[in-house]
Amino acid sequence: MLDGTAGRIRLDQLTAAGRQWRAVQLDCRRLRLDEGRIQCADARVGGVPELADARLNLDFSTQSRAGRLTAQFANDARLTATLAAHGALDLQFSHMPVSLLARVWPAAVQWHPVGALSGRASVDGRRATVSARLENAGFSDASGSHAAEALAGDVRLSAVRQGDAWRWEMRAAWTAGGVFWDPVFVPSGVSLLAEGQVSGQEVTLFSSRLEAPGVGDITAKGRFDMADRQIIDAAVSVRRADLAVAVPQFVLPVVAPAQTERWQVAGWVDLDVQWVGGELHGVEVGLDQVGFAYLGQRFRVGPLSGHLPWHRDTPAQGHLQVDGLHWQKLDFAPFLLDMSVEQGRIKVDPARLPVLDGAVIVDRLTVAKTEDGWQGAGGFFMEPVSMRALTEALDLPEMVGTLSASIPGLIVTPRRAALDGALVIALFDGYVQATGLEVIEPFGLVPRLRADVVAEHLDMAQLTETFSFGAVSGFIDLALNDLQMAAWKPVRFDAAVRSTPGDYRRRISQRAVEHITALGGPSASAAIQRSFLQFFSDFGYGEIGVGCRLASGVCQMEGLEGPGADASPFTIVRGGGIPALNVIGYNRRVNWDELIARVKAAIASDAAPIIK
Amino acid sequence: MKPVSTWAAMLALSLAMAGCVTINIYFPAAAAEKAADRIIDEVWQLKPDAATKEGAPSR
Amino acid sequence: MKTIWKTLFVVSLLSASLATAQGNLEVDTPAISAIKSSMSQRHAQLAPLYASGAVGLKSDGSLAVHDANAVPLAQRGKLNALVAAENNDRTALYREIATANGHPEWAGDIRNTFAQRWIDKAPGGWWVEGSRGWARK
Repeated sequence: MLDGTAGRIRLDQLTAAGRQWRAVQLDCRRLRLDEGRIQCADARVGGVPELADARLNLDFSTQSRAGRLTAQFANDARLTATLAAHGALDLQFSHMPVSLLARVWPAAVQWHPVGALSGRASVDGRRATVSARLENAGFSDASGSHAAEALAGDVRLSAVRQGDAWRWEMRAAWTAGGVFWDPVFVPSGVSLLAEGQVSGQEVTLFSSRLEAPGVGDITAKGRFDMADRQIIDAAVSVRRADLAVAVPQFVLPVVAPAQTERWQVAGWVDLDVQWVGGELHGVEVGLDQVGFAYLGQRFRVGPLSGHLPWHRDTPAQGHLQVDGLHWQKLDFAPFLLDMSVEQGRIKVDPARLPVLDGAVIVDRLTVAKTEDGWQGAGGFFMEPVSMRALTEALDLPEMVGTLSASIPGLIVTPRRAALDGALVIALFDGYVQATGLEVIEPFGLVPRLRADVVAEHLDMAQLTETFSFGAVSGFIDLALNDLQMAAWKPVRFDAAVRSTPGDYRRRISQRAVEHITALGGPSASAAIQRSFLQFFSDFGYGEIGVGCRLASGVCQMEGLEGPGADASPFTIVRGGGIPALNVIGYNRRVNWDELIARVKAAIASDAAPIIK
Repeated sequence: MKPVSTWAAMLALSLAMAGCVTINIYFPAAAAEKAADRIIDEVWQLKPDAATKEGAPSR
Repeated sequence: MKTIWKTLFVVSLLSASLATAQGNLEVDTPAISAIKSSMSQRHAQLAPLYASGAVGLKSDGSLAVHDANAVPLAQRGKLNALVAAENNDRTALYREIATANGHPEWAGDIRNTFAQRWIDKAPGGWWVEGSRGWARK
């Protein structure tokens, strides 16, 4: 029997928290051993490096198996464990450093956990409660790509044993700090209220409610199989998620990190998701005043509202009210899309999208999941739109006539939009037809366009008037083969313009001749007798023909005679009638940018005519 | 030259031709480096920066 | 013997385009200009991140987050977005230069050339990836 003198308790082996220490000793400043009662005051622990700086007070009765252990650590941290005679354990802790966690749980070391935990936990056979408060907490991996700072929060958990199961109730609030978990940053302001039951490997969530900034109000319930980590049955519903917050914060960093800065999204979404028998059973999406815009492409969609359902077994009817669709200055009037949604497929009913004085008619449109991801396919045509209104909306030179188009087959994937068939536009009394039209990466930095374009019977009078290029009467045909554009600028094509065969008036104004000769550069202008030109306001011509094969920034020109040696002259306008005039080009290799600059200069000079 | 070696030479020639058309042996490393330097200078705005740094002490 | 034949034929076949190929690579296409201007604009945001060591230049011609700890927690998502966007542009740039010169298969060689030149031209203090891992220039 010892009474109040210093002493040592030795344990050959100590097992706790899955770890084992050998030759553990308690060096007590005052040790009492009395009738099965151990009292050890102001003790230090040897053999457990993790507890090297702790001061312990132990009072334990081997008879009643009740006792109390108090541990005092540096920085005011304190832990008191009380074991009652009937087996109830009560744990009180204050300012316990989270870094202690790294001492007993080696896996935590690399996370550099910090923070202080205060609270109380108690367990007696049928009931367990935990209430804890975390302050100034954080963690970080070496690279900083998974980290948290200045965290604070409360959690209260209580559980009651009912037969084989535990009924539990939890309330948690995360009040300060932020977590970055690559690639998503989550700020504080999250609260969770949940109750449920744990029975063997099955966890049941009776109800839960999560509130967080941007994601609105989330409620969930369900049953989960923890052994297979699977959802058995569940229902999750999200009310009024704010897309302006949630999309840039949670969706874009995961889905399209490179584009995060380019999308602007707004509006609210309601979402209901249901799982039945381990399978996703149904999804209902409600949109309210949703809008999005892609910067740099000048197109905006929204506000749009509607209801999009999806059910595993049966097709469901959805609808989308689009109150705004804008491209450049082109505004579509509000329209409604009805659709049926089934497994992996959305089919849009025919619809009419009014725009300007005409409309785009959606003949058929389906969005389906294919091997290469989501793909849209559709057929469209247009009720005629006046070119005057359209060109004004698109900031183009004002054109007369009407535009009507037929797009029988359009295929759109996130990377590519392609026309199956022809796009036909009635224009300038003739028509323009594009085949093999394809746009790759329409939303990328370098959208690429490819097409073969054919135009027939374009009225030169309207055309030259539209582009202020002097006045030419007659008609032309155009073939623009293998057109390739990058970033909406041509990089390659094989173009040929020819007078339309037939009998019609063919006159060309003096000004137009000047512009054409100016295009050939100074060397071509030299071929024209300026003094002679001054006597006539217009001339007759027999045929116009010019070709340009663009590659590597150089336009290889040709005239009515077709290809020829670089040094050989070529005829662009062959004279006919009185007075007759030939326009001859001498420079067959022209820098494309220079040619465009000359065309612009010619148009500009015509737009502001010099009055003599 | 013996006929045999002529045949061999012609065979080698035709092999080489076939090889030349399909295989790309030539990468203009020096030109690529020059192009890279030009683009890097532009993207990092190295040239104007260097100019202002040189110009600053002379005032 | 075979090597000589090969060399001879390479010269004769390429002689037509050699004049341009040896002098300069074509880098003035609309696509390359668009990529360059996008990268120049982004550089204003990236420059301080290079200097602080948050991002570094990799040996494969791309960019990587080197030390996210150099950036406040809330900004780290943006750091990722910037790096992803820059790498997208760089890959597109290498591809575009190769295609603009009629040799799409050169993209890898162009990437390697750029990788070396990015690192060579990087100012002191930036982090670059060498054969022995990350190092500060």
